[in-house]
Amino acid sequence: MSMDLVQIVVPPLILLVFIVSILIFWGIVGRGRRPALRSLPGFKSLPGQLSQVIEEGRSLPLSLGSGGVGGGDTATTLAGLAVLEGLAEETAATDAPPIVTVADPTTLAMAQDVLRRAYAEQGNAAGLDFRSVHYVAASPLPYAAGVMDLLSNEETGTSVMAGVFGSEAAFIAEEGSRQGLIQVAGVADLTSQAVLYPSVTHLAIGEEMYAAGAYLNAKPASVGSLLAQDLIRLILVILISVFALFTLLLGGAPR
Amino acid sequence: MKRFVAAVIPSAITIFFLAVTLLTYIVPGLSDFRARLVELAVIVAASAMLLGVVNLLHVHGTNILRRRGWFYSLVLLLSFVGVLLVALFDLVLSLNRVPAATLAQQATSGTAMTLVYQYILIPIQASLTALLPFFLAFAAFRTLRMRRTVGSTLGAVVFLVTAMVVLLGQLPLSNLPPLVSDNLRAARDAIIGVWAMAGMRGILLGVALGIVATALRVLVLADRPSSD
Repeated sequence: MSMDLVQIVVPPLILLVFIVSILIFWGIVGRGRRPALRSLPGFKSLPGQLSQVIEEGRSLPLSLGSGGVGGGDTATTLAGLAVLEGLAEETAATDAPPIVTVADPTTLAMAQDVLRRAYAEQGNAAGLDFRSVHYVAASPLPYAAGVMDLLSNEETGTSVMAGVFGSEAAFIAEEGSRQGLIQVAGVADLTSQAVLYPSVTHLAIGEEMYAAGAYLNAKPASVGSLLAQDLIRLILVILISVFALFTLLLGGAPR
Repeated sequence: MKRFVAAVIPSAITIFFLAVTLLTYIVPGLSDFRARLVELAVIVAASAMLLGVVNLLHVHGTNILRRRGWFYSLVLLLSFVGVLLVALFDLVLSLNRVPAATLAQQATSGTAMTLVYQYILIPIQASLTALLPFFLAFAAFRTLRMRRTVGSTLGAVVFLVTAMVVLLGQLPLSNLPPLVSDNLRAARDAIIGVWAMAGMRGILLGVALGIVATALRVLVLADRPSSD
C-alpha cells in the first residue's frame, strides 16, 4: 500500500472507529456501568471546593481565556464551557453563580446561555444575574490584566482557568498565588502549560482538559467519549510504536 | 411542536455545518467551500462584538454605581469613550477622501487610531510582556519552596535544573573552557530536540484527540452547545 493511499484512507477510518467507539461506550455507560476513570485531582476536587466556596458565601472565578466559538479554538472553548456547565449545575440552586471572564464575544453569548440553561433546569431562572459573565477585553494581555484585577477584588478561595490561554496565563496564576488561592487550570496550549506549571495547584495537561466534563457532570456521553478517546490513543500509540520499530529494523518506513 | 422545532433546528444546523466542514478536510477540492463557511462564521462573530460592548458597559457601569472596584472601571469606560472618539475623528476626516466601502476600515486604521496603537497600546503591552520572565522566575522559586512531597520536590528540581541548562546553553559562554560550554550546548540540544520534543508531540497528540472527541460529541448529539 503506498503512503498516499494510507494518507487518504487512514484519517476517515480513524474517525469512523472514533465515532463508533463513542457510541458504544456511551451506550455501555448509559446502561449504568461506571468505569473507573484515571485520576485527575484538579477536576475531581472541584465540586468539593465549590461547595466550600458557596458555604462561605464567596464567589468562584472561572476564566475561559481568549478563545472563541467559530474559529480554530472552538473545541477548546467548548471544553472550557463544559467546565462551566459542571460548575453551574452545582451553583444553580443558589444565587451565587461562578464569575466567568471571557475575551471573545461569541464565548460571552455561549457562557450566558450555559448559565441560563443550568438555572432554568433548577427552576431558578430569576436567580441568575447575567452580569456574572464578564467580557473583559478583546486581546489576551488586557484580558489577563482584567482578570488579575477581578481576583484581587473578589473574596474567593479558588480560581479556575479552563480554555484558550497563552503566556498571559502566568499573570493570572501569579495574582492567584499572591492571593493564596487554590488554583485549578486546564489548558491545551503548550506555552501556557509551561508557564502555569510552577504556579497552579492542579494543572490538567493536554487532553486532560477535554476530559473535565466527564469528571464534573459525569454524563454517560462525556464518560463514553473519554473512554473512546483513551482507546484511540492506545491504538495510535501501538501504530506509532510499530512504525518506529519498522523504521529501526528495516531502515525505512513500511511502504 | 414549538419545542420540537426549537430542539431540532439548532442541532440540525450544527450537525450539517460540522459534517460539511469535516468533509472538506477529507475530500480534496472542497477547501474553497470551507473558506466560505469560515467567512460566514467571521460575520456572525463580528455581530457578537456588539453584545460584548453592551456587557462591558453594563458590568463596569454597575461597578461605578455600586462603588465596588470603581476606579479601574471608570478608567476603562473613559478609555472606551476616548478611543471611540478617536475612531470617529478618523472617520469624519476621511469622509470625503475614501470610498464608502472602506470607511469602516479607515475608522480602525486611520492616522489618529494608529497613533493610539503605536504610542499607548503597544508600549503598555510590551511592558507587561517584559515582566513575564520575572514572574516566571519568582513562580519557579516559590514552587521549589512550597512542594512538600518527595515526588513534587523532585519535579520542581528537575524543572529548575532543566530551565537553567537550557538558558545557559543559549548564552555565548566564550570564557568557559570548551569542554564545559560544548557539553552545555549538547545538553541543551538533547533536552530541546529529544526530551521536550517527545513530550510536546505526546501532548499535542492528546490535544488533537481531545479536539476530535469534542467535535464528534457534538456531531452525534451527545453534547448540545446551543440552547433548545
